[in-house]
Amino acid sequence: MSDLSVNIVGPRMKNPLMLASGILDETGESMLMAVKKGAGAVVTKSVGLEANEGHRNPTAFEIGDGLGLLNAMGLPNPGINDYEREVKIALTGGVPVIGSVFGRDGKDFSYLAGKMEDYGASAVELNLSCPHAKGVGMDIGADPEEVGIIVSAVSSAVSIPVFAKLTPNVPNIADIALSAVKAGAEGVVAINTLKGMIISPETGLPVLGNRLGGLSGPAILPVGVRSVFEIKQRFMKEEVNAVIIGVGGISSAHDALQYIMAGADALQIGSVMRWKGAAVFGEIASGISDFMDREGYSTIKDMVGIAQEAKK
Amino acid sequence: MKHSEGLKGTDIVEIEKVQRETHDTVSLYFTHHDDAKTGQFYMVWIPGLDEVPMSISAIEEDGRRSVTVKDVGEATHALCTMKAGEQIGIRGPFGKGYTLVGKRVLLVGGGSGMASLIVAAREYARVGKDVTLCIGARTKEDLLFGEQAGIKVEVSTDDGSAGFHGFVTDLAERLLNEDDYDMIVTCGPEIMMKKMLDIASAREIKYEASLERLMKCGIGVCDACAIGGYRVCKGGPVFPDTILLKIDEFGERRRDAAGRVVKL
Repeated sequence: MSDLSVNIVGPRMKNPLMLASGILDETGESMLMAVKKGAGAVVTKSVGLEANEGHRNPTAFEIGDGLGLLNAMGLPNPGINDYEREVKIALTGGVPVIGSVFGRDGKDFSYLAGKMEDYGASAVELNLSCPHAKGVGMDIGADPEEVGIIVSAVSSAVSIPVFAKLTPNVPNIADIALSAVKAGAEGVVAINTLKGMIISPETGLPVLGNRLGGLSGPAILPVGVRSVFEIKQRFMKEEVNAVIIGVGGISSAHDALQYIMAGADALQIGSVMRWKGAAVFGEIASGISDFMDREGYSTIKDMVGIAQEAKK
Repeated sequence: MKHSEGLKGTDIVEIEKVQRETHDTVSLYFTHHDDAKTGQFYMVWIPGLDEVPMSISAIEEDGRRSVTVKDVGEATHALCTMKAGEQIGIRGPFGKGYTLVGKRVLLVGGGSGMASLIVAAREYARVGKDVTLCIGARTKEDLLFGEQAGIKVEVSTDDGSAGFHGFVTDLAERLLNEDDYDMIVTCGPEIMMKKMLDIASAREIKYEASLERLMKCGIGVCDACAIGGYRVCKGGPVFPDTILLKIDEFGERRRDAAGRVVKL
């Protein structure tokens, strides 16, 4: 019988599937819903120092028929002081809660991560990758040196594991991943959304209120799998032992297995809930379990990174 | 042909007719080929300005649709001042609409909630159900959809300038005392809808309500319109009594644009 549990964020997770940051996680009650449907852990909405309303609508829409979502929410959040309530409610679900935070520098990030630790988060995820907010997210997360400085500051400020969420909108994501773990991160989360835009020809205007947005969903799966593969390859080459959490376009067990075999120790699920709802957690978990039973794998670890050894 | 979202983000349609309903409310008519159901909504894009959720206030078989807009802010003001021939973007229809169950139905609407409720009233009447539409407004001038062919309409106003002088919930209770109903459907200010829920459950009458929350994505992913673990845009906007009785924030609290909890 296959064992889906993984141990990467402190408390053991019953399965490797986390609710991804930014989807159905602004409120504690919604995070609880994902837990009830089978999520092994939940990541909060990215929270900053102050309440932020985000960008003006349109902020998100579906493109193609289930192809993906384009969004420019603009990091809406109630501010860290008002967020304790949501974390506490999410914690009643009995699975690890990972606090996602965003700031401008090491000082902001350290303060926010400390608050998340106080609220009971098992780990923190640093949003160094949102593609549509000024002065934060990928504005600072595209530079390996800057990422190292921020991660280093946070790692010395908190005692829970620190994960850096990375942007794919860079020439070499593995450079940034390496910089993050060398600065003390427990691991990295890859990938955030791809920069994108949709224009309405009839009006001659970009549709999103912020004009520029981030693409997520099934369309970006190959980009995420490639990114995780490159990061794992670099970690192996540099003999770095760090966690990789794969995210981007996962909508089935088949997609999840691709990430695991590229090198991901755990996975995050987000946009697919537009089409399948939170029930997708249970569907993917049992799909992975069936695959493992069929193919003779007993733990998730047995499959992590096996595509790395394939002959070219 | 059915509109498809394609890689467009939003469907651009031309406004065919603008109909003034009250001093501050207009209906915009356009054509959008879709399978819209009673109680669903569109995300309406005012190009370059904003996008707002709007109940679908008319659904015709030939694809004619309308949204009914009350001038309350920048985006709705822009919509209210639009003219035939101008363009808007349409996403949707989204959400779960009215169940349209019940044989003797009391519909209770307040203010701009009538934009959603009117379609349910017309549909109940069309299939031959016994419908009473109870409309609350501030004054006679604010009364929306007060004259509807084939539907019994009862009116209340806050200032007594038309119909019953007082709360629409008091008028509804009076009607419930006079006649038997097996379904209550409501859309309007949430405190009014909460009062109707209390009345309905005390009398053991089935109930559903169409809720309003600040909406962003409209497709159930961003959590802006969250209420008690549900999303109004996807789980709603119409919710049954069985769910609403379990949500303690219904009629009490909502979220602002930043996700902070605020009292209604």
